[in-house]
Amino acid sequence: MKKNFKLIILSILFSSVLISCVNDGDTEIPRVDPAPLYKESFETNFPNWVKYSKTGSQVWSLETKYGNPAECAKITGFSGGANNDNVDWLISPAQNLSALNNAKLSFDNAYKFNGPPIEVYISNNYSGTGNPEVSGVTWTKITGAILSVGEYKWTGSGSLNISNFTGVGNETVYIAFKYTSTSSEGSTWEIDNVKIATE
Amino acid sequence: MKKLVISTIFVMQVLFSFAQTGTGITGKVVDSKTQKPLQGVVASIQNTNLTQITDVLGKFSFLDVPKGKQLLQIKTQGYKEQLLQIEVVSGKVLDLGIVFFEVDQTEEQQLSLITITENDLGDDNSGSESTSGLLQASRDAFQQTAAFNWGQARFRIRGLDNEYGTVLINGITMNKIYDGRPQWGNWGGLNDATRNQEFTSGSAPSDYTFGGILGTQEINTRASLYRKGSRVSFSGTNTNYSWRTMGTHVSGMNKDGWAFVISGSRRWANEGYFEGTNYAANSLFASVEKKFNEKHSLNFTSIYAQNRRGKTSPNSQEVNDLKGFKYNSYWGYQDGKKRNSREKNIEEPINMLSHYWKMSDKTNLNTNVSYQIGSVGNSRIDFQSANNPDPTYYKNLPNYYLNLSTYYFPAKDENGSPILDGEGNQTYTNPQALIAKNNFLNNGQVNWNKIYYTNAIVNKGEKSAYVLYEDRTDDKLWSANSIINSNLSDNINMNAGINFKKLRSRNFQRLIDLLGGSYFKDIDPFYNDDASQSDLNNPNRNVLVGDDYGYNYYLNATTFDGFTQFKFRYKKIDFYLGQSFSRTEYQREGLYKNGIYASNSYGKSSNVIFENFGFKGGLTYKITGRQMLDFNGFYSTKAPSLKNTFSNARINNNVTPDLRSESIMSVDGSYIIKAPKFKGRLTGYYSKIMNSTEVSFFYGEGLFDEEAVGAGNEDSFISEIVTGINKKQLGLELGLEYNLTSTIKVTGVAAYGQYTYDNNPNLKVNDDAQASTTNSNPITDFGKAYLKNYRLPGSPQQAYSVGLEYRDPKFWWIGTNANYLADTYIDISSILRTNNFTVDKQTGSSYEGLTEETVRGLLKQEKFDPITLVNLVGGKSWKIKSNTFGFFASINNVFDITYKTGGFEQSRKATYPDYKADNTSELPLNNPANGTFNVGQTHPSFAPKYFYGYGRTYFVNFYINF
Repeated sequence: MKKNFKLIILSILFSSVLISCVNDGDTEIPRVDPAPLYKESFETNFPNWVKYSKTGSQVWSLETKYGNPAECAKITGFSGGANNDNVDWLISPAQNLSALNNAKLSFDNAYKFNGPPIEVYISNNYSGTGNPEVSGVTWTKITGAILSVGEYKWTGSGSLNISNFTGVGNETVYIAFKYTSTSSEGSTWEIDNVKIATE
Repeated sequence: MKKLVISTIFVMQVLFSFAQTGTGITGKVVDSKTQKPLQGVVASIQNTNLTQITDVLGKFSFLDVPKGKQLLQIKTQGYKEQLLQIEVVSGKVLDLGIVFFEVDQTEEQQLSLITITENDLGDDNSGSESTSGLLQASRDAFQQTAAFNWGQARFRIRGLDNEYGTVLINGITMNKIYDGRPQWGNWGGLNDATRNQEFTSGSAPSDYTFGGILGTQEINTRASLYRKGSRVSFSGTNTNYSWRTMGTHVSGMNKDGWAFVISGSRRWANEGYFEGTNYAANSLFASVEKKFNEKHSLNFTSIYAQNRRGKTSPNSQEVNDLKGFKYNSYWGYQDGKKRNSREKNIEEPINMLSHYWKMSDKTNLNTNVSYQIGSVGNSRIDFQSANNPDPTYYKNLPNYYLNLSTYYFPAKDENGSPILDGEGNQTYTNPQALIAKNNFLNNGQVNWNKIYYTNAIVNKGEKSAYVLYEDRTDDKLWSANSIINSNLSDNINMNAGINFKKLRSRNFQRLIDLLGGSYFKDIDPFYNDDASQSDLNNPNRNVLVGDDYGYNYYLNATTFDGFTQFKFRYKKIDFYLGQSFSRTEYQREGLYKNGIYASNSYGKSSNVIFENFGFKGGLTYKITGRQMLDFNGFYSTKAPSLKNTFSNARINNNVTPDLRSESIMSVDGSYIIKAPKFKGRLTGYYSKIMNSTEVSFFYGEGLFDEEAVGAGNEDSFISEIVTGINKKQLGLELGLEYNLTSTIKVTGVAAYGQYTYDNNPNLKVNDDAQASTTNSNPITDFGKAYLKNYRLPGSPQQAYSVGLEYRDPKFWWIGTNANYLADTYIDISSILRTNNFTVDKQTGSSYEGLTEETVRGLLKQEKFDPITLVNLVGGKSWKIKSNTFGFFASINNVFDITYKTGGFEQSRKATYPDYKADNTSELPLNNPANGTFNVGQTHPSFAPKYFYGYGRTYFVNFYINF
């Protein structure tokens, strides 16, 4: 009896010590987000993006110095010492989101000078080339992006939910930035680090 | 809860009645070698209050002992303690006759132990540098091995810091209120005078205090308890000092009831084991007792230990590879002599008055009042608008240049043709790195001449660019306690005590050397206007030698605690219960109105009050007379240390955010066997320390969002506040001792532990640069620090030892042991393990290209190589007439193994891109665009820094007892 008592107590004690051991590397780590499905940081002249100029002679072009960091996409309707009427689309390559059930979009933006704000759209039936504003192409406006406060202050848009454009039927999804300026006023807008990610 | 504790304390006292029976024991103690009677030996009957001191004839006699089985303990310093089982019969006086007392040789060994531990114990309060102070010289094979053989490698029993142990002198706690750790230097070098000690380990009960979970060490300085005689010793060693002399005289009690003890020592070295570590310590001790009558005695103790020593720097691998592990960046030559810029100077004398009152045969009351006053100073170089004088400043070292592609040039021979490697690729040179390397190899120390030149010639002897100052702590501490020990019945013993402490501690910066200039300015040159002022009440002050500047404040603390403890002793089972209550009150009182915190730096802070309690209990089950099972359980809460309560105490009154008391829980169980030839103990333990707080200060980069704090302010000198840290210690201890023959003893000892962080605590950062008139508490929340399951630093978590000892009957002995120590880990940086490291503040998502695998690889905790240390010890003594001569010698780390005892990660490169840039292995860069992170040859400027253990060291001690 004595022996058993001793044995039981000790074996409970020692086994409980041993089973609560941890191995090296059983540690948690700080947050690491999954890599984005798509990312564009506009480092070269982003040839795979559609730069469609609907109105005016100013176009989306490469900015090599003041991006976030280094290069970015930039447009301004101010030219020849005056503001000009412009409508310019910057449209991403097609993204296949059909296999996902959620997706989010984020981008960095900066601007200076008064003018209409940049607009963000999404479509799953654009052809991938040419005029985005033809009949049969539907663009859904994405709202809620955090925009720069001006003076070229780079700002993250925050995470924008585009889950409505996932699943079957969303084999070719396009993200577009629409720039507008008038002859009385026009901002300079810069866009960088466009990302599409899923959870 | 508080009420419950108090009522338990009092209710339990009245439960037990006082009972008495009468009868006795008598005996005579003689030295086994000389056959001479021994005076002043302490004889006591265990678990009773009966204690006697032998007279001139070595005799003792108890005439009022409870009948039945009793344990008689006979002990005095320098002799092996004896425990005798006796049967006391009612109405008879049992004569034990002659009790032979054998000289204890391990006591000489303790003298060498001191050199290992006192170097680091609590000295720099840096956690990773200190070892367990409760490495004790007890009878237990495990504890002895931990002390003598593993202490040099910074082994901590159960992985616990000193603050979880309690060191007492006459029942007064010596752990500092500031950081909870004892300041061993306060009685350093007084080994002879502090030999009357009682130890308990783990949470086992002590008669003097409730204690913690590491154990207690009680030093008794009552003059009549010392063995009469004189002793002189002289030692040589090559550790932190070179020489030591010590002399002690004990009068013994004279017929008028007076007894006194005096002791003094000096230890010194021009240079200790590590470069530039000067050492000078003088210690004096006096204790006088007057016995008024059988009931009352008064004792006065005075302890003065002064210690000045040069400190040694922790070094990075880069520095160690270039200069060797004994390198110390703190010293430099001045007029042909080595001068250390970082000296520690301790001078905190203790005076104590003790009253011993034998209230009855069953009850003793001991009351002590102590006053300690003095200062601790740590010197350093300060500089304004001048280059950093640290020879290991990162821009002085080759890695800084080796890590930047712009310093690389294609290598060319004398004809100007490119030098190619075997495969035809261009090779590169890095001339700046080569210059830095040669500079560091040839100079590489503090350049005092240049400092004096800058102050005296460049600055024309006016305002100093460099000065030497001391971070000073001047304490005034009143302590009082009262401890009662009473036998409530034959089986029940009670201890109770109350303690009171009042501390007034002034902390300030004092200028001690202008180094060739004639004044210094009391400003912080990193700030402008008001913010640069240390004291707005006296702005732009010129500072001279002896003046205080920079920061200046009081920390006030008042603590009160009490405990009761009941020990029950029966035939098969002994058990005990203890409970404690404490109240702690802290306050900061600023003497300067700091320019950054104009509204909350001058004057008093709020009172911070903590009320804490504790319970503990345990039982010993005696399976047979030789086998026992022992269990202990402990739970208590503990007030945060004063140090952690004011997170930015130097410049403001703010209380650490989220500050809470710690909770401490511990259980252990042991199987103990004590056979005549064989002794063994196997223990399993599990402890948890919850809600710990750690505050640290450093310069970090990439800590704040540029948008929020403005460009250029992302990097800052900050205080990092980690709260709610849970730590877990569990493991097994085994100690075996076998007497092969009467002269040969074999020991085998093992410790297997696992000490880990047990949760992901919260991390906040205080950044002075963000303080403003509207924000006097500029705290940024960094969220969780992912520390769970990282190992706690500072101690090997596995240790094994085998030893062999031969004791010749002709009074000489020799021993050797081999020790294997493994699983020592680096102290990890908390801030590197927050989302700040991985998440880009501009995008809000993790840095590009980061995968879990990369992060895991970067944040993997460094584990140091296991080491094997072999030690040799031996001694001999001679008896000439009534005098004993002897020597003790030891060689530690016989094979001169170089090893790291600890180290810490630097927190400066606090984001992934910065860390990656510091640790890149892609150089020279043929394509700078290729920024992938590979593990390979890297050239970090902010790599971890390490502490090293001693190589082969010796200790020789000669002594005469007369």
